[in-house]
Amino acid sequence: MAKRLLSWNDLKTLQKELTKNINPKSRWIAICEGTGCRVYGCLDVSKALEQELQKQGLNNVKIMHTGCHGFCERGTLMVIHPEGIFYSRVKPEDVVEIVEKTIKNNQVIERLVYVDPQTSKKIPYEKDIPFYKFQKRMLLGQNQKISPTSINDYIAIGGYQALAKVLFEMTPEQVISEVKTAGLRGRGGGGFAAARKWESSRKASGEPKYIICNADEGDPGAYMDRSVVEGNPHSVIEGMIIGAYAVGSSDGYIYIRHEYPLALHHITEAIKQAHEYGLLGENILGSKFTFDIKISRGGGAFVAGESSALMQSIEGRVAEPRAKYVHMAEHGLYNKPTVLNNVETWANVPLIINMGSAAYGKIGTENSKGTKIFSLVGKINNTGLVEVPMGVTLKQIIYDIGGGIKQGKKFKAVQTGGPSGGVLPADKLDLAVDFDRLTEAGSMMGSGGMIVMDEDNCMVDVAKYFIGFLQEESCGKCVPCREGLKRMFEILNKITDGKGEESDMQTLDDLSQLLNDGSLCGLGNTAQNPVLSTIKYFRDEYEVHIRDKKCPAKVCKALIRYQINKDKCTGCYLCFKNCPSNAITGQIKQKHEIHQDKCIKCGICYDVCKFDAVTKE
Amino acid sequence: MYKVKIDGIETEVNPGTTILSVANQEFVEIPTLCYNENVEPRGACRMCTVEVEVWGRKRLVTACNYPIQADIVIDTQSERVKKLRRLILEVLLARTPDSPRIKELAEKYGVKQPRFNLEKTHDNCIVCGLCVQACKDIVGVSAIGLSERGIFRKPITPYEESSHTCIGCGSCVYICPTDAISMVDKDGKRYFERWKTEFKLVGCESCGTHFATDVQIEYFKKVMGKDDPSLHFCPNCLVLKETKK
Amino acid sequence: MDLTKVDKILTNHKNDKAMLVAILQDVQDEFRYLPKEVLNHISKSLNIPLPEIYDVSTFYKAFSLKPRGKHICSICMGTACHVRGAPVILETAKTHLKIEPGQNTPNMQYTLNTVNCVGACAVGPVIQVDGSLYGNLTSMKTIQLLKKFEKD
Repeated sequence: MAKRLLSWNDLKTLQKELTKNINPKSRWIAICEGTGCRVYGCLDVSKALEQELQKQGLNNVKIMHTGCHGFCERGTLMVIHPEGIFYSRVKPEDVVEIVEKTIKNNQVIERLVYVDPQTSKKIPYEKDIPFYKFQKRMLLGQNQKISPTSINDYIAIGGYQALAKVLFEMTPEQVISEVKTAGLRGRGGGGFAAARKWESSRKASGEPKYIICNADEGDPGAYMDRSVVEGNPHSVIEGMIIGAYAVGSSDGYIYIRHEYPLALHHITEAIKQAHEYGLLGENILGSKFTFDIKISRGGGAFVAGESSALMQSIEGRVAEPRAKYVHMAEHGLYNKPTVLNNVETWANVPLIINMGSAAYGKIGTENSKGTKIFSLVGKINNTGLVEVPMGVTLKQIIYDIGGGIKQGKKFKAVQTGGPSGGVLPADKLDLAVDFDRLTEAGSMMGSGGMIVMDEDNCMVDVAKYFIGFLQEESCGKCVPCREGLKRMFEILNKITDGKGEESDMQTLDDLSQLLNDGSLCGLGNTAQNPVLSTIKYFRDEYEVHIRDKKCPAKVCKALIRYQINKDKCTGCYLCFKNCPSNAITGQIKQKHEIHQDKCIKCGICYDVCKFDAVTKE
Repeated sequence: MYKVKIDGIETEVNPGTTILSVANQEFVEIPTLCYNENVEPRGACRMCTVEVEVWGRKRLVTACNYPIQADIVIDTQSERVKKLRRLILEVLLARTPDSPRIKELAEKYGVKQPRFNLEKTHDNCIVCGLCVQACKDIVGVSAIGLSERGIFRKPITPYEESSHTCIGCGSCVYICPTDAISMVDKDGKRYFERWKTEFKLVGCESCGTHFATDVQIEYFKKVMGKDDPSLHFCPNCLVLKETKK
Repeated sequence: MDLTKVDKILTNHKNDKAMLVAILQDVQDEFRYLPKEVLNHISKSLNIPLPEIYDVSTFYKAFSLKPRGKHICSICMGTACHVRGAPVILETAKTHLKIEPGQNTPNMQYTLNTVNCVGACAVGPVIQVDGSLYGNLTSMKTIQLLKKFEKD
């Protein structure tokens, strides 16, 4: 059992103790064990490395099992310090060579080195890789230095110092004022000023007051919060304690998605450790301040991202939003004053205290301060999590950091803001990304999903995808959202089935108004955005579907067909053998044929044919 | 007191008064479906949406549950409101093309043929939730509840099986704004198609008319803590008995 | 059915009505679905009307009222997976297993589900089988993956 820290001094002493033996020249290896790298089998790499180091008697080489580094495309990631040599796509069978050459003899292994897809240049050091070089990793950078299950690692890099400073040197009002000056806006969606919520909750009457962290990251295509909770859970906890002190709250909740088992495990462990050190519970760090955090597992409902619905869920009910004519800051959880912010927002709080609001305020644009983490995914070379100062352009993110579009294809659009957001076309690539610019362009920041699409993506299909998603996730309470989304989905299906009519465009517009003006909560109020933004920027694509019954991107299943070119078919049997729906007939060495009535358009025949005999049109 | 101007009519109200009650007081008509004064407003149907201006900012709110917290100008007939009403009725009419109440409202507000496929389920339910609220908050039984979500959300008995807790009082039938719950009294029995539940009816000790279910009588005995003459006679005979006295 | 396990779960949550969602999650972890008998038991123990428990059980996607197969295969339908071809993966899995999402195979080997993003967007399209993630899938790889779990 760890020793309770009874004062700021105890914390400082512990930090000194932990960093005493760190030699900047000593060798250590950071292995990414985030969710992405786990898919690539990083745990096997870790195990192999541990065994090899032991076998070689290299006990002084420390392995740091870290959370997500962000460059998920290249997993398994390994960084060898102190030089910062960056290896990607590492497999267990590479380990022996890595230990022999790099660890023991300081040689760089060429084949594991990153190759820039733009310039084909080999880049051995992490700091030189464009993906990292152009980011500002104030939050994510910490992930690479610590093991998420070790509170000592967090304390060693200065963790909980902001909390101590707040407890012993600042009044709650000063904390609120500092966060206000820093200009922190909520990273979960609307971008509401954090300090304003805190202030009204502090002033509101009613006890106890609640602090909630929304870790129910429901935006499809976004996993920033997952990586922060998985990789650096203490930063979230520290932010929450500071917020609680500012608001005057003694009770906190973390509402976490049930689909994130690793994040749940790490946050549970972190809360336990913080307790043992006296950083949570009664008289934190020997002060008079008391605060505790409970974990509430989400039940699997996107609508729970809406604040009043989330609170209903914590109270054990269905996540149905309530009318928002009373503010959550005054009447929230159990009808008590409540402050709700998401993971990334809370994790920013210790940074603000440590840097000072003035320095923090220098990062970003006039009304959007600090950095923002984006999940840069889709048809992009460098898929992963990127953290950039607010105000960088889409082009910088997609090309400089993201390395451009996969397989040299043409950029078509980028979707931001999840189901409440919209798509932005190529001529918006120079847009400076912050809360207000994105909203002006018809999209929004949302929680930070950034899904890149190329010429092979159909914009009507994308709109249909989001409306289908929302239709499934609508709670069903209010008529406009429940019925409006159903009808919108029907019409979009009609269009992608080649049965669209000219008048459908007007109906979509009317339904958008129904959703926006009539819905009870934010889910419905913004649900029209994917449709309106695709119509705004890609109207011609809708028209081609409706008028010519064609899908230019060849995505909409009803409008495409796979066929076998008899001149090229050799009757090799491969497509026949692999077709999952038995839609292909033909004898070996004879021309094959695809029966359209049975074809599910899975594209396997297209992929397996070695003679380009299968065509898609 | 706050100053209120509703469709041009000026008045003053206490803080917390809802727009709908001001409207009723001033004889301004606002259409409603899921509103019932005996239960807490859920604001689910959105029919009562009106446009308000508070502190110089215009927005749409639902009249049934918007508490007046400042001086306010209310417009129940703005173009935005009228269009929204028509759109709500259009999707509702497509959902429940047989409901007389929806048809009547649709006609009143100028909605003719919905542009959508009409549902053919012959179910008039608009999932307003009033039946569930009545069962829980008025009757105190909670025999029915909502289930599923989104487009599949609907009021049901658990597992859509005959209910053990329903008392067959019919409050759900009376409160339903769209006549979506059928209650049939026949051959001494009462049957609720939607709840798949059947009851034995009890006759008035004086005239023999069936006036309640046996479970209902037992439930009332339990709630009142005693047997009572009102549990033996139909409302008509009760009145007669009272007057005779 | 062993209701003492349910009582233990209830005690862990101090028989608190507000913990209903958490209690149901523990029940689901224990039994792999929410058996009717257990819901009735919780209703009586916590004095929550059964319709309210039924509402919560059918509202959240994490819960299942039906027994589920030995392997739970969830196909990620998140945006990143969608633009990289998740609908085709789903179609392939449906055709291969001959069931729709939400159903079990007749031999109870598989339950097919869809999930709206598992947060592994960088390696999409993704399938989750029994909690483990498999990424960068194609139709071919999907069938290979499904075959792997068919026998054990």
